[in-house]
Amino acid sequence: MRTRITIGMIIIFVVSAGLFCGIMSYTTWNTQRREAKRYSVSELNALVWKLNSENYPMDIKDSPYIKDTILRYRIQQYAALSREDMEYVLQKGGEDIFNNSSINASYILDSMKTDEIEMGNEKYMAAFFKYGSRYYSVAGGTIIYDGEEYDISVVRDVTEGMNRVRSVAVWCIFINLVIVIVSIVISILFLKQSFAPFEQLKESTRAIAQGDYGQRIGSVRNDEIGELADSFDRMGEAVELHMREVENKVEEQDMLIHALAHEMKTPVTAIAGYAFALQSANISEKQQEEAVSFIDMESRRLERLSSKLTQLIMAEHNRIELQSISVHDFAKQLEGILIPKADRQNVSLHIEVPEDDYNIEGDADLLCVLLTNLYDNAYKAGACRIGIHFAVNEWTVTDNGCGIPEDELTKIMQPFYQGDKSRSDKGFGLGLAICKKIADLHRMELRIMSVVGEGSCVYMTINC
Amino acid sequence: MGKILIIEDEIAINKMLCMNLGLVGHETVPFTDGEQVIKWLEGDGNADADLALLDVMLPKADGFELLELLLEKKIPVIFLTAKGDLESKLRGLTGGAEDYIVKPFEMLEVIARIDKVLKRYGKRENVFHIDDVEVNAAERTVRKNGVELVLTMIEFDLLLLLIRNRNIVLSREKMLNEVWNIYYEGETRTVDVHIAQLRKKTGLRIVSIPKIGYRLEVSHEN
Repeated sequence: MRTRITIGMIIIFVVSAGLFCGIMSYTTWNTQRREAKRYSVSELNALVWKLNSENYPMDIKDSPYIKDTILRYRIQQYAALSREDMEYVLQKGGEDIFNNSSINASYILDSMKTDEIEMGNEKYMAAFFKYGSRYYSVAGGTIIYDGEEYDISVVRDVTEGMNRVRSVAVWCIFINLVIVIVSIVISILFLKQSFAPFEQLKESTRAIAQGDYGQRIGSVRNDEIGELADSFDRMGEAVELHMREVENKVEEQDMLIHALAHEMKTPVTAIAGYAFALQSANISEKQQEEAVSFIDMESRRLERLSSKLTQLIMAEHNRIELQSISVHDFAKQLEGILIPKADRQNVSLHIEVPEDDYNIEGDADLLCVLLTNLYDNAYKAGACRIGIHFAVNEWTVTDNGCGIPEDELTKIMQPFYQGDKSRSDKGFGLGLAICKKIADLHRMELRIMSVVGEGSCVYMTINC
Repeated sequence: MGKILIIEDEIAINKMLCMNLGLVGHETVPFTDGEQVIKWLEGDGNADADLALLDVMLPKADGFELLELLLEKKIPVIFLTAKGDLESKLRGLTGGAEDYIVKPFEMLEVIARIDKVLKRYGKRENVFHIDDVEVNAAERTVRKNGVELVLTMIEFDLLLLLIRNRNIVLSREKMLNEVWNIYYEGETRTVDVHIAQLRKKTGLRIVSIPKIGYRLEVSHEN
């Protein structure tokens, strides 16, 4: 593209400069020629006028020789007084009477066959030619002098003038050439500068194609190219943002799968090991019972893991249908699930609703999972008093469990994260991750405040 | 055979290891957290064991911590963990562990690796008494009621494999791999022929388990 534009521009420059020089030189040359011929004709006219006006008739009318001599004498005088570059030729019936030019008279007469110029009442012939290395403009005509007919011609050497024209033309071409070269250089530089953002664009595109999504052009130009660069940068930003999102998502999913595989190893190893033991003989009845009960326990654990994962996937992928739920009804539903559980676990559970019922938009089943998970977390933290409070715009779950250290508060929402490193048999660390997803689906903000040794409080702020 | 410490916080896996290792004749001592191990090592002046199976992620004191204490007492350690990444493996092995087994594992593999380590430390039993048969692995002799039996090389290797994995079902393929060094299935008739020979010569209870393989049954009193 850049090369093509450069070549095109060079061609345009050269052709236009050439045409300009050619036409200029040609017209100047021609004008000069014409002027030279006109000048010669006017000189001739002046000579003819002079000869005619001073025509002193002689007595010796029958002596053409004397007439010739007189005329020659007069022209000689005239020539002596005229300008240096003017030369004169006088002929009568094809014979030279006077010729002070360096050119053969018949050559001069032959040259003047076509060009006819009128001046006053007279008609003259004119010509312009190069003889040897010099230029001449000639004018000729026929005069009747004292009854005799003569051919008279004025020859003017115009070499100097024509050479001047030529040198002006050469200068003109030279200056033109310089201008052309300078403008080519300037336009190449200009083009290069104009195309610099395109080069950058090319580089950046290649970089992005190779996965370096951080590439930006950062042009400050205020033209179309600048706009293009800005658009490109915006596109780059969008692509980078999108890619980062995708990467985060993949990373998150990777972690989830990793954690899941890890979590499955223990029950799978145990089940396989007990099955192996059962194949053996010499295993006592007590041992057999033990092996079977462990297989039963570990397979239940796998089942619980799978159901938790289903919840997580549901919360993550399902487009829930939000329905208007009465908080009073919802609290009753929750009581039905949690109160028997709390009684069994010896937990004093207190569920509090405001006197005035209000409605929220949500999915009752998922919200149930959310609060049940929070209850389970509180129970696992060793709480014996748990309170669930449905205030307008904010729900809270408070407990008097062991609390969460500050540095762990940021990590606990990650799937499979467990505060207690010993990984007791109580759970998988999926609960809060599920809660977070469900809260997100309901545009609830989930926050946890905790004091180690005193208990925790989970706030769910409802954004309407 | 050996006295093995089982240090694993998952009770299901801990009991499973004890059960299976007990079947092949090892004595096992279970621990479910790091503190118990430290107490045991400190409390018993001559705390001794032939080997420790050690989980990396443990409550109260982690596996790498315990590794040092166990090595001080000259107890070889095999790591047993769900963490299969290279970094953990290298850390365990350069820290002095004998081996590294990643969960989920096969019991046969654990038994074989334990056997290798015990052999390296010269703690592997070389003389076995099963019913009225005495097998000496070092001398490669078999005596029944004091009378020496004549066994071929293959028969002896097969007998030893069965003894080391006693009470456990061994598949015909496994036996082909270990004794004949053959790694393809189908040639299992060879095994049947040699097992029949062993039964006839030694009179041991080598039980055929349908569809799986054979098992040498040894009562716990032995």
